[in-house]
Formats: sequence, C-alpha cells, structure tokens
Amino acid sequence: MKHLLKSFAPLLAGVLLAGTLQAQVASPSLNLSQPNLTSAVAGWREEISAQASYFEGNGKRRQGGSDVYEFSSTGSSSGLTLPFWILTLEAQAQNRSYKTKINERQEGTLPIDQNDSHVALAISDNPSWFSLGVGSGTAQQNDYQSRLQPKQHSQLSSLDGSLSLKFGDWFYLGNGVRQIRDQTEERVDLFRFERLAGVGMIFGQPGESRLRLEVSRIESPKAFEARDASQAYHRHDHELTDFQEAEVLIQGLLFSGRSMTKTRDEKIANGNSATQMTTETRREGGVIWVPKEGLFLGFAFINEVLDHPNYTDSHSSFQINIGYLF
Amino acid sequence: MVERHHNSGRGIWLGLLLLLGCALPAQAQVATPSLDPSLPSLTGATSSWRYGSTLGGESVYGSYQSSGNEVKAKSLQNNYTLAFQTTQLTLEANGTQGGINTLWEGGNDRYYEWQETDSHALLAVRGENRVSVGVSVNKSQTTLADVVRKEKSYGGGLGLRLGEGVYVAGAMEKVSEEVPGFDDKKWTRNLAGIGLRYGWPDGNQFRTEYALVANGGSPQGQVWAEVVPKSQTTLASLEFTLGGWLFSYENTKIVQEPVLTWAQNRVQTWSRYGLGLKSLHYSLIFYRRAGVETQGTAEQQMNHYHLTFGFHFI
Repeated sequence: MKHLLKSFAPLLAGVLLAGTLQAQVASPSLNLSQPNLTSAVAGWREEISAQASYFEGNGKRRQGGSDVYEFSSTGSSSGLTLPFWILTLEAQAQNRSYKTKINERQEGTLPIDQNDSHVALAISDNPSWFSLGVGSGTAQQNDYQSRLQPKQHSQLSSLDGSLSLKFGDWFYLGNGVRQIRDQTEERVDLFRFERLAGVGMIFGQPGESRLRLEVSRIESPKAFEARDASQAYHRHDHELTDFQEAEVLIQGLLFSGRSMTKTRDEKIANGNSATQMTTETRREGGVIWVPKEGLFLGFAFINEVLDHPNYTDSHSSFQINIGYLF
Repeated sequence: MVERHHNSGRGIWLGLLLLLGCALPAQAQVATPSLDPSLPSLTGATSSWRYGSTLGGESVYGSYQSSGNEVKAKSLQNNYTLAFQTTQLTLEANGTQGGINTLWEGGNDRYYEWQETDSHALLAVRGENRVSVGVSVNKSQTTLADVVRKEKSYGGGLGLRLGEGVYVAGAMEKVSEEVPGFDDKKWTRNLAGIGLRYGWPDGNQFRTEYALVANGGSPQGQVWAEVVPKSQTTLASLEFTLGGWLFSYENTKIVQEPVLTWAQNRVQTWSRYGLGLKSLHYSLIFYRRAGVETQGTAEQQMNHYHLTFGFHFI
C-alpha cells in the first residue's frame, strides 16, 4: 500500500492547504478582505481597498487508531482591489508553511509550504448588470514524500475566464472556466480544466443591514497524460467541490459562515481499478468590522478535515484580517 | 518556606503546572478597561475602549499561609502594560517577566516555587465609537522543577457600546499546551462580560463590570497527562474616581474543577480594594488583594499588595 500511495502522492498535494476560503463565484462577499474565486466577481467591487491577513493553526494526522503527526502552520496573505472607470483590477498573494512536530513518517504526503498568487481584471458596465473577468494565477507547493524524497515541488498555473450576471439588484448568476497546467517533478505536465458555477443573492442596500447567500460548485474532470521517454505519467482524478456561504451585515458588523466540501474519486493504481473517495471539508466562521471608509479588522476560526481512506488529517486555525477601505 | 521537590515523578510537576493553566492576570477586564489604565485588558475588544495611550507597570508582593501545617510562602511579580491608541486602532502589549511565584497544593499542604514569563499582544479596531473588534495572541511559559510548560492562545472578540455607557463583550480563545514528553493539548476559553462606564478621564468617572471566563477542559482522567485544566472565573468590580482619587473594589472567584477523578475542587475567592491618585496624565494606585483558597478541607490564606503606576497620553 505504501508504494502505491507514494506513486499517487502528487495527487494528494493540495490537501489542507487552503488559507482564506475563496467561495465567491457569482456575487461579491460583503467582506472586503475576502478574495474572490472567479475574476468576474471582482467587477462588482466599487471601493478601493488593501487588505492583509495572518493565520496560524495546528493539527494532527490520525492513522490506524493513533496520532502519527502533529502539524503547526503559519501563513499570511495580502490583496489589493482597484476599481477605475469600468475596469476592476484585483491582485492577491498568499503563503503558508507547515512544521511537522513528530518526525515519524508513515503513509501519505505531508505539506511543507505553499505560495499562491492571482491577478484578475474585470469589466462591467454602468449601471451594472454583467461583469466579465479574466485572470491568471500560480500555486506553488512543496511536499514531503519520503526520506528519499524530502521535498517535492509542484506548481499549478491557471488562466481563467468568467461571467457574472445580476438580475434585479439582488440575484446573481456566475459561470467560469479555468485552464490549469499541472506541473510536478518527475511527471509529464498535465493540462486540464475546471468548470465553476454559482448562484448568489444579496438583500439590502449599501449602507444598510444586508444579507448575502451563495452556493457554488467547481467540477474538475479527470485527466490523464501518458508517460514520455523521460517522465512518468500524470493523472488527475475527478473532483467536485461545493461551497455554501452566508453573511449578515448589521450596523457595520459582518458575521459570516462558509463551508466547503471537496470529494475526490481516487483510484488505487494496482490494476484492479478500485475507487476510493477522499473528502476534504472546511468550516469557517468569523466576524469583521466593515466601515464606510477607513480601517477594518476581523477574525475567523477555521476547521479543516481531510478524510482519506488511509488516514484523517484535522487542522484548526485562527485568522486575523485587517485592511483599509479608501 | 518554599519547599523544592526534585525527586518526584514528572507527572506531579505537570499536574501542578496544569493548575497554572487556569490562571488569569490577577486583575482583568473583559467588557471595559479598568479606570486604572496601568492594568491590562484581557481581550483585544476590551482594549479598544481605553482612553488614549499608556505606559504602565505593576509590582505585586504576595504572602501565603496554609491553615494546616501553617507553612508560609512569598511571591514577587512585575508586570507591564503598554497601550498605543489612534482614532480607530488600539495596540496593547502586557505581560510578566520573571519573578518568584508560589503554588499551594492542598493535598500535601506544601508550597512549590515556579517561574513564569508571559506576554499578551492585543489589536483592536473601534468603529463609530460603538463597536469594537479585537484579536489577541498570548504566550506563556511556566517552569516547575524540571518541567517546562508552554501555553499559547489566540482569539478574537467583539465589544458593543449600547447607549451612553453600557458595554457588552464576548471573546473566544483557542488554547494549546506543550510539555516535552507529553502529548500536546488543545482547548477553548470563552469570555463574556457586561459593564457600565460613565464620565471622562479629565473628570469624575464610574465603572462597574461583571464578567465570566470559562476555561474548557477535557473529560476527567486518571493521570495528569490525560487531562487539561477546566475552570470558571467570575469577576465583579466597582470603581470610581472623585477629585483625582481612584477608589476600586473587585471580587474574583475561581473554581478549578477536579479533572483528575480522585481530586477535589480548588476554589479561590479574592477581594481587592484599591486607592490612589489618578490624573489625566499619570496614576499611582495601591491595591490590597486578600483571598482564601480551599481544596477539600485544606485551606490557605493569601495576601497580595499591588502598586501600579503609569503615564498616560490622551
């Protein structure tokens, strides 16, 4: 089993690595420090803002009835939203690093660090009923595989295009597609794509109490690239990610709850095509002060669980969000 | 005399250190900061309601005497509070550096000496002078015999000002503990408070507050390594300034539940009286804090003398 998991280690990369939970596909978050998932959503932003966050957490891996690893993690992110004329530019970057306290390596990949960046450009008419966005991003990651391979580098480069439509000032529909180049050491590059779709509702006018609800989904079909003369094959299993979000803004205080569930059809490559599901869940709850202008500050508690057929990773973290609204 | 024990199992030292995990700053505020600006805030959201910046210090001398064997002990601590405030933002750092501390264990009626270093960093934003959102990061290290216990917590809180002078606040902290040779532990600490505060620092002021702190623990265990601290603290305070003098009273009750199946509740009850000079730019306050701690039928008397001093910039 160990060697089989090892051969699929790149597929496990990315687990429990999400920092700020990006879940905005159709409508913009009422939290200005919240980065968007699709570029088109940036087009709904009307304020210039700069934001940063710091997060810290710890967790453990449970395998075979006992705790085999303990993690601690730290990270930070920064972002800038710049609307001008009918265009909106949004840039964000994030890093996160892990320390593993118990050096008792067993099965499965262990994350070491991650660096993400994304730039989005959106165009929307005025008064707005649509927003069209394009974006580009990279997500670099290092993982521990084994003593022989203590650091494996992988990188996802993406180009995305998306459209968000607004009906009647409160109902939003979002759709997008993302092309991804999946690069991992010792494997051939894999080109694949993801589809994004979401429905959002925002009740209330700016400056008043507001309620925002959104559900969205990312579908990432399976993809395969055969080996070449020097590098091994590269496979991506089918993934489905569902998001739910609720935000309530009362007198400048924004309370939010988000959840994400990602399921991955993971085949064990032993020739028998056995299919196992890996499920990753993330729950986030927080509060932030959102002023009409000036400094904003908030915090969030985050719980993440990765339920793999062979082990369970759990991780809880605390995030501080700070920014300035111009 | 403080007795030193070096030949007992590390589990005993760990157990005693766990009791310290329930400890709070001797004087703490949850909903509103004390009228004595040199005293620390317990949550970031509290710090927001300060009036201006502060450079403050506190020295604490303590004496203890048990009623059983009539053994005695002493303690000496120095604390600091630094607060910097702009129109919206408040930054506060407070903590303890070094000092001599004592811990009473009622089962064998003995005092143990331990060392502590702790620091708290608070950051808060005040919105429209009616909302406060704050975050905090706390680190402490306690050493007893050869066991070093590190505790770290981070959390966020929310404070609201209702009407002219009614304040409510709530906060949650995630606490983690590391002791070499033992499994790490995690638990949650919840804080809530309601207070009244009227007046301005350049005149007479009145403040009263009631607060609760629940330090969540794990189910009971047979040995110290299996359990984490569990305690409930209630704080009630009444303060006012009159003609440049500050008068203060605070009552604190701490109940540490018996996380060990065979142990008994530890209950501390403190009464604190304070009197001192308080002006817009400086303060010098003296407090006497007397307490009784019971553990089963065992009991000890505690007396603390605090001197706080600070310079304030509004």
